[in-house]
Amino acid sequence: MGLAFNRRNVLLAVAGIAALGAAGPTQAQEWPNRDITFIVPYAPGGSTDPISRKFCEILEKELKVKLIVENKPGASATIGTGAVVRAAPDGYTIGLGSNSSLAYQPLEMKGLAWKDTDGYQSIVKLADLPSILGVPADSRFKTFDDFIAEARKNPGKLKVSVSGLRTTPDLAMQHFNKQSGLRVTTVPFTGGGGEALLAALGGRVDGSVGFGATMKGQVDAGKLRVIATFSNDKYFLFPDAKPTGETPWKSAVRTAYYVIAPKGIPQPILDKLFAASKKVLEGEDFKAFAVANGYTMDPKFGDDMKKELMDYERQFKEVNDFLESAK
Amino acid sequence: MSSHTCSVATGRRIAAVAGLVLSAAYTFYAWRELDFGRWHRPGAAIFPIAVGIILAVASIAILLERRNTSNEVHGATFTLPAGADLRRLVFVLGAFAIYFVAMEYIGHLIASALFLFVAMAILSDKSKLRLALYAVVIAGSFELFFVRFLQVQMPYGLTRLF
Amino acid sequence: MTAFEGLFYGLGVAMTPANLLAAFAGAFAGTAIGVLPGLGPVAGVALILPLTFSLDPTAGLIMMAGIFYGSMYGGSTTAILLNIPGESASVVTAIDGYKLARRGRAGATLTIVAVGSFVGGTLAVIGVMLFSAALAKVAILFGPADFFALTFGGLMVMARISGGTLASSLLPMAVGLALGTIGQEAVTGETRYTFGILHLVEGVSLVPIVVGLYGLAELMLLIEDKAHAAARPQSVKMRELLPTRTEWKRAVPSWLRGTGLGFLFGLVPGPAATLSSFASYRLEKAVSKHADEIGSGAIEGVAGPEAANNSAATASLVPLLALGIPFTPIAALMISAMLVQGVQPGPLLITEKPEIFWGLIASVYIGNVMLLALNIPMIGVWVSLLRIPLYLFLPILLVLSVIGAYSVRNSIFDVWVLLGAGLLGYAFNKLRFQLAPLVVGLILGPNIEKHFRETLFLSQGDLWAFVDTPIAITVWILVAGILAVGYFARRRTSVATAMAQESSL
Repeated sequence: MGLAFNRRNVLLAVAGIAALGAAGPTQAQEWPNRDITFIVPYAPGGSTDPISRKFCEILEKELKVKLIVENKPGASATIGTGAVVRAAPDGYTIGLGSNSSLAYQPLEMKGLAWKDTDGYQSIVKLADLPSILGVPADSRFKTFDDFIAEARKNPGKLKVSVSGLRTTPDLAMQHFNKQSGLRVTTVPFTGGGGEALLAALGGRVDGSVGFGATMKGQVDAGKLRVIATFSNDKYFLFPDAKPTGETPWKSAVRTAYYVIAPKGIPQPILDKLFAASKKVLEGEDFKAFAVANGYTMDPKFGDDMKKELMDYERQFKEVNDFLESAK
Repeated sequence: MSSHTCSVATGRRIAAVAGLVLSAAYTFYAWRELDFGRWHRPGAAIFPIAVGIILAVASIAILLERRNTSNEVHGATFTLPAGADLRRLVFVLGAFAIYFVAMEYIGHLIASALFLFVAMAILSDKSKLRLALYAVVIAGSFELFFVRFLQVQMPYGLTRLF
Repeated sequence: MTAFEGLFYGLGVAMTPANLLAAFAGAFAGTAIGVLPGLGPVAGVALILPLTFSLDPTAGLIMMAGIFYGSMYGGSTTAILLNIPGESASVVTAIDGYKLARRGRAGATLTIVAVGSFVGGTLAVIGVMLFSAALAKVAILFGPADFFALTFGGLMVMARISGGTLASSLLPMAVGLALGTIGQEAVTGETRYTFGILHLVEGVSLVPIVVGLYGLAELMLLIEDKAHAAARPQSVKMRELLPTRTEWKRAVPSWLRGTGLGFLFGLVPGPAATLSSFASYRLEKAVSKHADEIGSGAIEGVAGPEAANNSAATASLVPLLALGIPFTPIAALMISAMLVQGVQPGPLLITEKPEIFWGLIASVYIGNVMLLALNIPMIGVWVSLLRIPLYLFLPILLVLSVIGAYSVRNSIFDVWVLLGAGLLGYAFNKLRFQLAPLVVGLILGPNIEKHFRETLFLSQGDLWAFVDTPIAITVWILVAGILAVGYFARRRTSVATAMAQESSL
C-alpha cells in the first residue's frame, strides 16, 4: 500500500510541477488536478462544520479530486475568512463564509482583508438558518402576540437570552426592536447557545433567541415552546411559530452560509465551480441533510449571492446605528 | 560546567518591579481603551482593572518581602547557566524558533527533520550520519502518525505536492 | 426501563463487535493523546469527528467518549515521569507525582493513578446510570450568580493551591488572570490587549501555556544543567511497579473523595475535568491524614485529582445525554456528531434512542475495564521510556509540543505562545514562584468575568443579585469557612514552629 501510494504521489507531483510550468490557459482546462483546500473559519462542532463537510463530501465526487477541510477558527471567523481572501486565486483554496463574517465583521473590525463584497469572489449560497424565539413551556406567553403585547405594555422589561452580544440571534432581535419600536432587552450568554437556553429553561429570562438545532430537543420533550421565527415565511421545523414577516414590521435577519473564494479566479475555473456546486445543491443528498438539520435552502450563485450580502451589509449597518443611538 | 550564581531575593524584586510596570500599563490600557458600561450593562473594562490591581498588590507584597525571610523560604540563590551550558541552551532554543518560522515555508515534515538533526547534534557527539538517520526516521513517523493517520493539519509548505 | 434493565440492554448494544472495536479504538487513541504532551482531548475528539460521520451514530459517540475518558488515564503519565502534564487536567498531578517518581516510585504512582482513574470512571458511570434524569435538573438550577460564587470563591480557595507564600502564588495567578483577558471577550465581544494583532483576537489558549510553562521550562532545565538531568527519575525494576500496602491504603480515601468531587463538577458548565482535579488537590490538602506531606510527594496528591478528573469526564455525560445541552467543547463535538447523523439530542434521547443512551453508558463500563487492562501493562513500557538517552528524547518532546500547540486551532501563533510560556515558566522556576496558580487564573478568569457581567445584565444592575439565591449564599458561606479554617490552621502551625524554635534555642 505504502509503495503504491508513494508512486502515485510522485506522479502527481510531477504532474503538479508540469502544471505550474505550463501557461495560464491550459491550467483552466486541467483544473482541478490536485487537492482543493476548503477553509472553515469555525471550530469543529456547532452548525458550521457539518454543513461544510457535507458540501465538500459531495463536491469531491463532482470534481473528482480530494477536498481537504481545514478548520481555522477564531476572532469571530475573521481569521479563517482572511486566509481564504488572501489565498492565491487559482481555485485550489475556497472556504465557508457567513453573513456575519462577511458582512457584519467588517463593520466591527478594522484592518480586515475585505471591506465589502468586492473583497472576495462570491461562489454560492448554501443555506439559511432562521433565528427563533423559544419560551419555557410553562410561560404565560402562549403566542408571539402575547409576547409583543407584554413588550408594548412594559418597554425594556422583557428579557431574552442570546449567545453573545452582536451574534446573529442578537442582531435579529435588535433589528426587530428597531423596526417595531418595541424594546426587548437581550442578555448575552456564552457557551454556544447552551447556556442561553439554560437561562430560559431555568426561568431567569423570559425567552431565548437561538437556532433550531439547540432548541429542537427541548421542544420535543415539552420543555420549551417556539413562538416566533425571524424569517419571512414559516419555518418547517416549527410550523406553529409565527414568522416575524407576518407581523406589521418586516424584519428577518437570518444566519446564512456561503462559499467564497479569493478575488481574481480565472473565468473558466469559476464556471466549473459554479456548475459543480449547483449539482451539489440540487442533489437529494444535500437537500436531505439540510432538512434534517433545520436549514432552509435558497441557492444563489455569484452575483445574486453578492446582491444578498450587500443587503445584509445595509441591514447590519442600520442595526448598528440603531444600537449606537439607543446607548 | 559553569554557572552564574544569583540572589533569589534580588531576582524576585526585579520580577516584582516588572509586575508593577506591567500592571500600570495594563490598567492604563483598560482605563483608556475599554468601555466601562453602566451597572446594568457592565463593560469590558471592569474586570481588567480588578486584575491590574491584584497584579499590583502581588508585586508590592513581593517588594515588601524581607530578605532574610525570603532566603529562608525560597533559598538564597539560584543559578543561571554560563559558558558551554548557556551556549547549548541558546542554540537549542534558537533552532527551535527557526523551526517555527521554517515550517510555514518548507512544511512541517522537512522543518521538523532539520530541527531534530540540529538539536541532536548540539546535545550529542554521536556521528552526524547516525543522527541524520534518526532525525529522518522520527520526523517521518510523526508525519505518518499525526498528519496522515490523525489528520492533524500541520503546515505542508513544499510537501503538499507529494 | 429501570436502570438495570437499561444496563443489560446497553451491554447488548455495546458488546456488538463494531461497538466494542469503537470503544477500544477510542480508549486506545485517548490514552495515546493523553500521554503525548500538548495533544489534548478536545483536539483528539475534534480530529476524529469527521471519521465518526461514516460510522453508526452509537459507535461514533462511544468512540468520542472513549477518547475523552481515555485521555484522562494517559494525561498523568508524562506529568509523573517528566513533570510535563499531558493535558491540563493533569497539571496538579505533576506536583506530587514527579516528586514521587524521583524517589523511585514512578511505577507505583502510575499504578495508583490507573486504578484511581478506573475507580473514578466506574463509580461515576454508576451515578450517571442511576440518577442522570434527576441530576439533569441540577444544571438548570444554577444561574450566573451561582456560577460567579463558584468560580470566584474557587479562585480564592485555590490561590494557595501549591503551597509557598501567598505572594509566590498571587503574582502568577494575576499573570494568569491577565493572560485570560487578552482577545475578544465573551459577553459583549469587545477586543482587548490585541494591539492590532489578529491572532490575539482569539485569545491565549490553555494548551500552549500549560505545555510551555511546564514542559518547555522543564526541558530547558534539562538542557542547561546536566546535574538536573541526572536527577530525573530512573527506570525501575518490575516489582517496584506495584504500590506498597500503605500506598494502597492511603490512596483509597483520596480516590473516593476525588470521585465524589469530580462527579459534582461534571454536572455543571465549565472545564470540569481540569477544575475538579485542582479542587480535589485542594481538598486533599485540607482533609487528608497526610495533608502535611502533600506538595512534597504524597500519594494522596496524585490519587485524588486523577480519580476526580475521570469522574468529572464521565459525569459530564449527564448534561449531554439527559439535557442535550453541551457544557464543554467535547460535549459540543458529540452533539455535533449526533446532529450530522440525524439524531436529535435532548431529554427525549433516553426514550427515543435507548440504544444510544444505554449503549454509551454500558460502553463506559467496558471502556474503563479495557483502559485498566491497557494501562497496567503499559506502565512498564512508560517507565522504560526513561531509558531513552536525553539527546534523542529532548528534541522529540520539543517537536511533539509544537505539534500539540499547533493542532489546537491550526495556528502558528500558538507555537510562539508556547515558547513565551516556556521562558516565563523558566523564570518562575528560578525565582521560586508557583506555576499552578497561573493555570488556575487563566482557566477561571474568563469564567469569573463572564458570570459577573451576566449577573448584572440579568439583574439590570442590581448588586444584591450576587447573594440572592440559596446556592450562591451556600457557596459563599463554604468559601468563607474554608478560608477561615486554613488561616487558623496556618497560624497554629506557625506559632507551633516558632515555639519549637524557641525551645530549641
